[in-house]
Amino acid sequence: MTLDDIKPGQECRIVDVNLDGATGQRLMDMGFMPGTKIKIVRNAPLVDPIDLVLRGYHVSIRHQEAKGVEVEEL
Amino acid sequence: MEVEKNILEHVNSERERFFSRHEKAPEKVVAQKRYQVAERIVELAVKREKEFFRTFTDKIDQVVCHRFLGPVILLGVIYLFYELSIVQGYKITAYTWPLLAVFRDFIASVLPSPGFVFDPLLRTITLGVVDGIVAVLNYIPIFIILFALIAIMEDSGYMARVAFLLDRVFRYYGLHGQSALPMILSGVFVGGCAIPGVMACRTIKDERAKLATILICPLMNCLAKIPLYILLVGMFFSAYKGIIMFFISTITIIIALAVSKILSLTLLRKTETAPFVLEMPVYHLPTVQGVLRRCLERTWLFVKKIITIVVVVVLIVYLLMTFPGIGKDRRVYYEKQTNHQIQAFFDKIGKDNPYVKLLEGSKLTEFAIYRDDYKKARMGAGSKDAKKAVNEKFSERNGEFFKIVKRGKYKLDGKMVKDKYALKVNKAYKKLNRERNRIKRDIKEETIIGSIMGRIGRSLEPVTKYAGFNWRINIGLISAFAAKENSVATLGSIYQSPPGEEKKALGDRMKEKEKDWTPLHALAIILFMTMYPPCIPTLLMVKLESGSTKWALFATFYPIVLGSAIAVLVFTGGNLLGLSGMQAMVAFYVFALIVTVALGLIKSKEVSEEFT
Amino acid sequence: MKEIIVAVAGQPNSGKSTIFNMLTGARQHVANYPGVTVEKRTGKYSYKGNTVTLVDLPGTYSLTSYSQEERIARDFLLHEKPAVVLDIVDAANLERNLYLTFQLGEMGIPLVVALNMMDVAETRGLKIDTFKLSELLRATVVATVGKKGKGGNELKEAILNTYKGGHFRMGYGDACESCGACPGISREKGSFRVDYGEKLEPILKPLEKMLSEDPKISVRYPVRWLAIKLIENDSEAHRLIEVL
Repeated sequence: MTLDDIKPGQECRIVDVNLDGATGQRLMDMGFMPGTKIKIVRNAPLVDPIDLVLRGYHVSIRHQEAKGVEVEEL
Repeated sequence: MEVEKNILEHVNSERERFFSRHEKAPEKVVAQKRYQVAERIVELAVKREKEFFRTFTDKIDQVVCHRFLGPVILLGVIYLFYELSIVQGYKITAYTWPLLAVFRDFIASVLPSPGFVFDPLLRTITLGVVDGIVAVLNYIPIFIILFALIAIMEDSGYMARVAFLLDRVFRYYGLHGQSALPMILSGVFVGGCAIPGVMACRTIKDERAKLATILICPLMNCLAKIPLYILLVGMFFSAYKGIIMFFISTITIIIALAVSKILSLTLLRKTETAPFVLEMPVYHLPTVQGVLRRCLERTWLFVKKIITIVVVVVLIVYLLMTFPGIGKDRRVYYEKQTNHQIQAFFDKIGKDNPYVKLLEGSKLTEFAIYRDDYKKARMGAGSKDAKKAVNEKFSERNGEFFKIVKRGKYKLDGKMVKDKYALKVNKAYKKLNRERNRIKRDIKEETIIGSIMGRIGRSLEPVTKYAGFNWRINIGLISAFAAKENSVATLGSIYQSPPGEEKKALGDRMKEKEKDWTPLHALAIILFMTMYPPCIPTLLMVKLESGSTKWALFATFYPIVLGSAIAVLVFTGGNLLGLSGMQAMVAFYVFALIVTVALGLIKSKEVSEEFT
Repeated sequence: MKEIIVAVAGQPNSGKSTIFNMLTGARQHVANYPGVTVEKRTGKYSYKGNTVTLVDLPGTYSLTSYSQEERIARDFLLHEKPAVVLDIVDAANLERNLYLTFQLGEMGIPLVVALNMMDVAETRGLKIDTFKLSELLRATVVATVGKKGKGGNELKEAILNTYKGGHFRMGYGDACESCGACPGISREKGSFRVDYGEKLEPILKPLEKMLSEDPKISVRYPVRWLAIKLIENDSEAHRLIEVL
């Protein structure tokens, strides 16, 4: 299951980040690590991008990037 | 050399070994370890005394990022931006303009004084450059307001929310959620300015989207494009004003989005893009000091840079529109005409008029300047007291001239007298001045037509006729390059009214001269204008914000090509199909819409994985 | 009297510019970094007879070569070699901010950490032990509230002291001499560095040795940093070696 499957209000835990290059690096820099807890807060008005909380701060990413983040539901 | 090669080979083999052993990239482990250590340090040094919920920011976000309320609030904020910077900013320029006029007048006063008909070259060129600088400086109030608003948006944390709300719409076209603001400032709703628009692009973090936005901002409808629209719509579409204005404002966005998409698929394909991983920071109240400092600094940085470049560019454009100038024969011809009119003037006032001596030879020019100055000063003086002050000033400057401009009514020894000689001179001079202005206009028109730009306009006619443009329109459109508001002014001097019919509106005069014009002609011109290349200050801004002259040149040439192609398509195509103006408009609109929607569906490479 | 160059680094939204304004006041100058449109802000202040020039680096989350701003920040540290790096850290987002702090430390320049927006952290129920943090990082940590102008003098003192070599240096590990900025912290020797673990350290250590044995590389670049970057497959780091 990947991060874009998670509905607003639900929480999950990262299993792995399957993205290379700039996107993968940026996600890691922002703290997207295996084991990190994520809470999806809301979708943008046109569903994409999504607003989520990790490590105590809010970050917005697109569904496309969220697809590369493997998670497990909590 | 050997050693360095060895190191790189060693690194590569170690990386490969790491991959095969751990099945993940070393950089992943590096990042993971850093976070593990950071977590450990936080554990040791930080005590969490209570569980915290981001109540304040979260509460705001519940409204500001809400499905329905979010976009409504955003629209309000955007409207406020537009209203404060463009609308109110322009109002402020009405107060700052007189200051700039003082500066211009000062320069004018130290330059060689003007002639009766021909002005000294040094004067015309210098004033041309000064006018160019003043025209740019005139935007400063708008810049200051805009920079302050941008600083507030950035410092408060709302900028990230804008990107969040709008990203989906713009991404289809290679743009970014933050592209909305620049485009609106540039004039989506008809009547913006591309200079602040391009300037606002600096907040876009994605390099490719930033460049694409910079390049399409000038396609929006800036204030200076409006007069030509109004002129042509009034001439040919007066029954459909609302529809055609809607057409103009929406067709530009449709075309701009298509252009942006094409650019990001082609020229900008290799430009760096940033992944959309955007922190939504906690809201902060911006400090007055921080906002003020930033907006003043940015304005100053802009002014400093722009002044140096504007001098050169204005000079070149000015020369292109002036040189080689009218020939010697024509000069003699105009001088003869002038002398003829002057002779008629003296004949009319009669030899026994005591003012003759005061106006002979070079003194006539002196009087002409005096009278021009007086008229200008009177026009600027609003209140009764101001008018009185003007009178006193000019009476002091030259008492005899003053009697003439006052039509012979003045105070002598405390009594009002009527000086019929002065009145006669006044009346005769009025006629002479009319002739003088006509000759000046003729010279100006001839200069423009004979200038390098004018010649280009004429030589282009065989090509531009497919777009429905004759040489007169060509010159009008070319002259708009220095500043778009020129287009109507130049057309005004090209389509001059015959003597005695000065009161006729430009639209009527044009219609009289171009009897074969159809609404298709007007539509082609309007469409060319929507795609018109940016004015010089905007080009400078493009150069500054894109960091390269190459992009500024590109921003000049691609709209010309695009605009010409569209004008030809609509005019020639419309003629071939026998469409009316409105039919052609609708057909083109539908065509553009289909192309743009289709382009939006093409997937572009989202992230450039590597670059050199 | 020498001019002390201090680079001001930090993540976006860490309140970097408020600290910058607090330290320098009106004595600022804005230009662009050469060849790019990124703003370069510099400012000056005098402290105890020394002139300190602050250079504001672009706010970045990391120091990779994937974005222009990160490259600019990194190139400045690498080539201009400032005497001290002032790292502005958002106290309420310590974990993520430390991620950058570590990377700054790896570049071998003495570090002063401004723990900014302490008031926000406190209202969130976070109690941060700055002395403990200082001890762990082996760098002076000064608590600040940029908006309220708190901690400015302490920062200036810490910068001067670090410049004089009197304090912890990340990656160097000189002993701390008393500067008054952070009384009570342990004065033990040693330097702080991230331990990349049993998977990576066996690769990094020999590579560091290789790099330090190359006379051209070792004088120009911090070898620990370069070793990590090479293993990370950083394109710019590879180029640094290629152009030698």
